Amino acid sequence: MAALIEFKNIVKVYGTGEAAQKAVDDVSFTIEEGEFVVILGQSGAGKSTILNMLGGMDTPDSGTINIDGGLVSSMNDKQLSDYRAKTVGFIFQFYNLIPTLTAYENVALIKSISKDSLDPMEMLKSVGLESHKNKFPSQMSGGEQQRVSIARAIAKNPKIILGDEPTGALDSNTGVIVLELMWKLCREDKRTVIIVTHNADIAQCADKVIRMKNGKIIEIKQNENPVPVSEVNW
Amino acid sequence: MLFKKMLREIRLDFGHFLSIFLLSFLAVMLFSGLESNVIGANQAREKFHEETNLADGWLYGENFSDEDAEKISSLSFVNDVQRRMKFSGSADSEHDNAELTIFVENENLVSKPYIVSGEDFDVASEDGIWLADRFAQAWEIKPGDTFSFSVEGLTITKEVKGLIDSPEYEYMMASDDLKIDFHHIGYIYMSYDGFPFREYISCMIENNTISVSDIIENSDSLDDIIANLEQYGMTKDDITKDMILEKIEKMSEEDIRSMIPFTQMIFTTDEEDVMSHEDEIADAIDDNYAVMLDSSSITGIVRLDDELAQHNSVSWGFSVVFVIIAMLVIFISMNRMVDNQRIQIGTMKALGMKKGKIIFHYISYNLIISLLGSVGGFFVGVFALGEKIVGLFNGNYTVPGWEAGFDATSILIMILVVGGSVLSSCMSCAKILKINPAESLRPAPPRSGKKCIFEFLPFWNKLGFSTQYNLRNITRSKVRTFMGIFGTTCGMILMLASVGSLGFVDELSDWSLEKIQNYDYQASLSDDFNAEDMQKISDQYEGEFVEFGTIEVAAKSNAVSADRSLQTLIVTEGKGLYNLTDVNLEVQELPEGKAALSRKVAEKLNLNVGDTVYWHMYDENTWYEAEIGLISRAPSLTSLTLLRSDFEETNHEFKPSMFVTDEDITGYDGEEIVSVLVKSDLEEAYVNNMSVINDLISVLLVFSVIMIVVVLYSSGNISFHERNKEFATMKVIGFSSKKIRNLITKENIWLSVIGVIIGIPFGNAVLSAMVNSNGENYDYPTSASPVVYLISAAFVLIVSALVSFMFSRRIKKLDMVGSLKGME
Repeated sequence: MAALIEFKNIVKVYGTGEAAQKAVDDVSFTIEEGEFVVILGQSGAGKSTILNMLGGMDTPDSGTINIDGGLVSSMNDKQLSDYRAKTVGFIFQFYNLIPTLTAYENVALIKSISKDSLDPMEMLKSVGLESHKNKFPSQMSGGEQQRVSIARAIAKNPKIILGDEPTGALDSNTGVIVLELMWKLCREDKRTVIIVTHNADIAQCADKVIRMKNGKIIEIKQNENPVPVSEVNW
Repeated sequence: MLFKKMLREIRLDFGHFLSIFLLSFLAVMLFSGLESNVIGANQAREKFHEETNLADGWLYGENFSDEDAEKISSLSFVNDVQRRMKFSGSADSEHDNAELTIFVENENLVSKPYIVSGEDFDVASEDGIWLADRFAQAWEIKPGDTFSFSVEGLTITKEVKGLIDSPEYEYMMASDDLKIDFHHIGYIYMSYDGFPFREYISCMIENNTISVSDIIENSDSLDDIIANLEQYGMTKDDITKDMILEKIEKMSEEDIRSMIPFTQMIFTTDEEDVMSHEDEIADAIDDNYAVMLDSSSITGIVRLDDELAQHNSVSWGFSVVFVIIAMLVIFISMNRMVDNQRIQIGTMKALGMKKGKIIFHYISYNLIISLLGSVGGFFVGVFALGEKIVGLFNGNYTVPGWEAGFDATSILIMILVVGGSVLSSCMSCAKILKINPAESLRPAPPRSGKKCIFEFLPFWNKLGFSTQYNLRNITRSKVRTFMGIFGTTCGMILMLASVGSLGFVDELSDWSLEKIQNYDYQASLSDDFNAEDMQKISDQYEGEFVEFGTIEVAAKSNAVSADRSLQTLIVTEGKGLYNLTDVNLEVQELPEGKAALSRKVAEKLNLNVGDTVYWHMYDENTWYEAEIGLISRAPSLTSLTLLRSDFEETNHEFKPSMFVTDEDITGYDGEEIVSVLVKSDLEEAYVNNMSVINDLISVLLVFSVIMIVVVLYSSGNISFHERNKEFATMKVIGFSSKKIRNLITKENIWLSVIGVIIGIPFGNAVLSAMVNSNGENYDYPTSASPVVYLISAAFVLIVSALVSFMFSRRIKKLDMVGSLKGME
């Protein structure tokens, strides 16, 4: 059976001439459906660039990205929009909620993007924030905002959830809550979850760990016995 | 959801969106309000002229026959032709002996009276007249009333059959009035069959208005008497008044009527330039006419044409400035707003929202706000401001159905404002959407630093920190710098145009009432004022007699009508009471043997000092020449001015219509003087006449002030928001709030001063365009006085400083942590 995601010989260069810098240098990997994948690396390793390309928010200079049978690396703007609207859900480090919309409205925003979106209230309930539905982002803690962000990501009912340092701006207790939610999305909802982080502890929970350095993959490790988030010693 | 987002963001950034609303509102309101007067007037006039079949050409001559009318009618470009008689008369003393013009007609084809009330005009009516509605209203005369008026001493009493408006009298003012008073002027349309010709002629003979030789010269009706006299060895000189009166009594109605000629022939055509057909007309009637005119020479029409042309210029002048300002401010401020939402746009894109949806979302801010502003501005402009302005003007003019109107232009301006602001959002948003979502999720990278142009100055290192900082800032933040300068430039343009207009009204008063009319008393003289009367007054008072007449001037003798210019002839005695002013508005003496020609006429005829100007009295064919000794200027009268001695050398009798003096002439008891005005009357009339202009300009001034505040507020708002983080950083590293405030204030003063300087020539151009648009007869000064510059500049700088102060106060309250953290 073909992998859900096939990343093949991807190169991404920023800048031109002498200032050109390879953010991603000939990177290849595959990810199976339902896997919980962690991409690890220090700042500048190229992990966020990979996540952006997986999310259809950036395009490679060379190589191919095949996701769920679609050649994402060759898609035009409109196709990429459709791909982002249907296939992937994004969770950002700084949540990126619309500050002038309430928690409920931020999730319900997806209704105007995807016809097959799930009930926003149900999504808020699933992240334990039904009582916060009328609160604006500025009235919520970072953890709560990130849970809204997760609710928003899953409201599209996507196959793939992408998290860019989803716990990076949170304290450890809140980070665990967020990770548990993402873990559930993978294990209970059978979604593929890919998290980019520099926090090596998170790798214990992953089915697959991709380590990166200076734009290259230095290791891809299949974790035979991933530890549930709740059991990790943070 | 996005709609809710928009509403909340509008509420959060209320000041910004209020600015956009106000800018759209003001731009559209000002244009539609000011133009509604012009559009409404033009629409009403078009209908009025069409319904009354207003003449396009006026022919004046000694006698137009039926055959002449037929010949004109047969010309291919002529539609309708009609002859008519025109008499000058007056109302009875109960109606203040008001000036009346009586049109006697046997046809009703061209320049037909517009019936306001009563019966339709009937050219066969023998017992009725149709009276000017304005005059009738002033005196509360109604259809069915009896009205008496006199023509050459003959009193005629008729029933008022109807009240009318004439398209040739949209403007009218009695010659002795200083302001329009419909108690003193009117007109009558009556049937040819109803005019008492026999009594009229008899009356003129009895009053010696016409003599035997006049009759012999202009009619063959006395030929049989002369023939009889010759049988008895007598001549025409032996004919007595009684003989003629007896003859008149016995003459048939047909013969009597033939003695009173049709002196006017009016016609209509579809051709734009009727004057270009003068040769064909002249050929058709064998040059049997004195003058041919088009509507541009009919005072009752052209005054309103000029007034509307000026309103049009003012409304376009101000509105174009307003619309441009509005569009630019909206564009720049929307750009700033979209820039600030870069990460939100990136997020929406990352979530999979389509470009079109995002663009539509950001367009909807401006679409809704500017649409609300524009539609509101349109309705308030047309139905409140427009009606108010129409109310200010239509009291002085008579056009049935004149009310505030609008046409496609008003809608177009609305579309332009809304479309412009929508386009600005679209462009701002598209700029960010071009960036890939991953990049737009990060804040925009800081601009790369490079040396500014001022750093190459040799004394750069000697400049203080704040000067260096501000110079760098100005050169690097071009849009912000432009906005700052642009705001004050626009402010200066608007202030100069409005304050300058108000200033010129005062200047006009000084020019007109102090320099030209340099006297304390002005007496109007009777129509039959003669040399004996002149001597009588001269014996009692030191003063100056002035004659006003109507002439045509040209750069060559016997020029065709198209090369002639209808002007006022002023004949003065050169005693320094009724003065001439030169192009610099300074009083100048007219040298003997020379003529003074108004600047606008001289420019039109391409004449200068030393050249020869040719002129003829309006009702005479003999041309005279005069050497131009002075190019003169007067605010509302273009003329050729001659000294009495030079005028009399042309064998014309000096028949003054005005006597001006510094001595109190109010107690003069004699019929030679009809009325006396003292200086205060003139000043009061002047203020009254100018009050409408003052009101209009005051309205513009208020809008200008609002616009300046809105523009400078927007510019300050943008500047402050853009530099929020910069100021926070400065505070963090130890700059005091006061020091930062000083930096902002200093930069703001620089930009404001530059804006004010740039605004001066543009403001002058707008002022000049507005002032110069008021018709050929007006020659207002177009350069503003230094006080106007000072007031305008001071106002703009003060508003700019206040706005700057308002924003710089926020420095103190600036939340350093909040400003420096977070991406939104």
